[in-house]
Amino acid sequence: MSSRAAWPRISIGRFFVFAFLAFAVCFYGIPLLWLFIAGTRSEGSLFSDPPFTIGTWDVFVRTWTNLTTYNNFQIGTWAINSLIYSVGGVALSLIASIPAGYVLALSEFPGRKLILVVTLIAMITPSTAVVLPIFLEMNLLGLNNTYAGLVLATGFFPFGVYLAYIYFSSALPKGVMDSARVDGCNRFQLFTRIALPLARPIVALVAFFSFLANWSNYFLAFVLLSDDKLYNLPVGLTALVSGSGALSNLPANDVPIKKPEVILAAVLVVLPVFLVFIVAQRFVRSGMLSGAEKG
Amino acid sequence: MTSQRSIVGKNAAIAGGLATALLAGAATAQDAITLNVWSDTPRLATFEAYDQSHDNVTLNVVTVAPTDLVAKLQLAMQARSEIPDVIFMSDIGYGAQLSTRRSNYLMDLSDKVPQALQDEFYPNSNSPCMINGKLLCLRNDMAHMIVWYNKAQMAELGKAVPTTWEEFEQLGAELSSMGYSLGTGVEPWPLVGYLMSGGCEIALPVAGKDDTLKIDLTTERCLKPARMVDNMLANGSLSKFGPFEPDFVNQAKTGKVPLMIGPTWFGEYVIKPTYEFAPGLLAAALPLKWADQDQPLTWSWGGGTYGGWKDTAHQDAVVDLLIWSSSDVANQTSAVTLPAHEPSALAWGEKLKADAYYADDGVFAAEVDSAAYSHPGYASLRFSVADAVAKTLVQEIGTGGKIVDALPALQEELINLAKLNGYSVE
Repeated sequence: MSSRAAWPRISIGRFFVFAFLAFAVCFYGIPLLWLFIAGTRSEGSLFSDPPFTIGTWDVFVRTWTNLTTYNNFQIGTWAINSLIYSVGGVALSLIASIPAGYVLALSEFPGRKLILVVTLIAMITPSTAVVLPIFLEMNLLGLNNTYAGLVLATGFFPFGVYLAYIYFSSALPKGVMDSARVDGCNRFQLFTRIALPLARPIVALVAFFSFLANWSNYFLAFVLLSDDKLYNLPVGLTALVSGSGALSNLPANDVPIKKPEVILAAVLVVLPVFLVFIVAQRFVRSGMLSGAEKG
Repeated sequence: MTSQRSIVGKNAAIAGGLATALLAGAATAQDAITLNVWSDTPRLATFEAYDQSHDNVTLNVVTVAPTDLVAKLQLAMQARSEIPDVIFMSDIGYGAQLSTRRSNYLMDLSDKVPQALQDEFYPNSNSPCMINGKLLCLRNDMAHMIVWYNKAQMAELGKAVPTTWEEFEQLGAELSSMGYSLGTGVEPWPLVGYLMSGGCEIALPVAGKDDTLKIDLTTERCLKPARMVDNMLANGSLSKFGPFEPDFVNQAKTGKVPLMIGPTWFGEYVIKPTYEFAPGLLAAALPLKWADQDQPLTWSWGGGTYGGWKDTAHQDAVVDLLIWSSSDVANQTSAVTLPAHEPSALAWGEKLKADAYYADDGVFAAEVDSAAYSHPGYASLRFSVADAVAKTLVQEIGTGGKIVDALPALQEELINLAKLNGYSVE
């Protein structure tokens, strides 16, 4: 009797919920786990050993050295470029989208609804559909193959405008804004002194999503950049991996970029996003929930 | 006065010197040429070597992902800016894709590369560059199929290396019962190679007719190799795994693949590093022929080409770079794969002959001697034959079918692709 009592009773429904969650964790987590482990293994081990065999420190160091020292540490240049494009893109998208969302939420002016609809359309339009016009536009402005060109192109972030619009229209206490107005704040001061400090979670959320989009931006960078010194990480690593034949069936070269280096490169691209999410998760969570209930 | 005269004289001399220096500088600046080059990663060393050995030319080399080359080039041509003067094409199909009416990039080299130099390339090695009768690029490296085998193991098994496809099939039948296989039967390029060995007409350019292909897979020249592959897949002497799949790799690592058909680069870049054959085992032999053929007909798998921009402002410099990259003996000696230029290949082969990894010094001889048997139809097309094979034959094998039965589907697929890409079909 006592041993039976020690087992917690769970209903069949809860059992299925937990079983499904466990399945989801395994299904989505196992490839990630494999990715992080595989970077420590040699090419031979990847083919022959069981999938979750952990490699050796020596192999990891050799893989790391191959990846980082190739072509005068070019991957370092690409990482710095990625940082420049991402920080620039995030800054520009914040400067543009937060005030835009604020104005759309709190002001009435002719064409407001049209702008909102256009924002929504821009949000759901695939980036591949606009990439050629952007390329031609940048070419006309002489901004192809420049840092400014890609930053300018990625600064367009309608999703951020819409997030800011939802936040300001639902979570900003109207009473606080009215009080500030009575106390003599003009429109600009209302935004900078009242709305913006209260909107920190949404700023963090927009910054996070913008960073995510810019850091992993491949297609736009691929189209706008043709100088390998200006490549970001996704485009540069694709060029390196594709050129080395590590993942294709034409590995006939001495480039020291093989499957372990490719896996490590994938980890390197993912890692900053992972770290940014860990650091920003408090803001991201509160930003996601902002406006969920009116208080 | 004397001193004054002296000062004036000195000033005049300095001014004269400055003027001369400026003029010389201007002349040097005029002579100095900058060429924009799009390369893949393995060819960077070649372009760097050219840059260093040519004072009057500066190369602005950009690494472009081989798979992105055509798309990026089309964008550059659309924008009319940043168009490279020289490119390296790692896929033989790019030559055809970059010489269309809409993407007309490649320079005609027919009368720019001396005939004597063209003759120094191995027979048919420049066939991927001959597009509608014009030489539009220069081949960097050869990649024809030869026979790779484990010499000690074949001796241990008491088997002779086959010289005909009939012997190959027979050897497979004998060894398959002991758990051995003779390579893969599902990878598109080797499959095309098997079919082409009999003279099958799988999208072959028709001489003298622009943009015209011969596609006929109904003849015995196709059916015979197809039946051989079907038989060998059925008895397990050809693996149903690709050469880079873990199952096949493990089979090869454990000594269950004593012999296989593969391109010239397979020894150094697949069998040695991936299949991990021990030193002193690997040997090579000439490609196989059918009993009723006088000589082998061997398909290729890979081999890059150099091409130049037809509207470049520095035509002579571009031609010089193309010729140097593909045929400078000193440069090609350190190339990673067998050069298509014969004098370069002979110099390149010295290190292979001296390489103790191989069972004997006959590997290089097998590679160069078989160059003469390269299929003349290994051409640059605007569509991928390998993709069509993967879509039809490989899929058929995957579902347990026979490739003999899938040849009509492949023929239809190839005809559709050819017509879609502007070819006439015979």
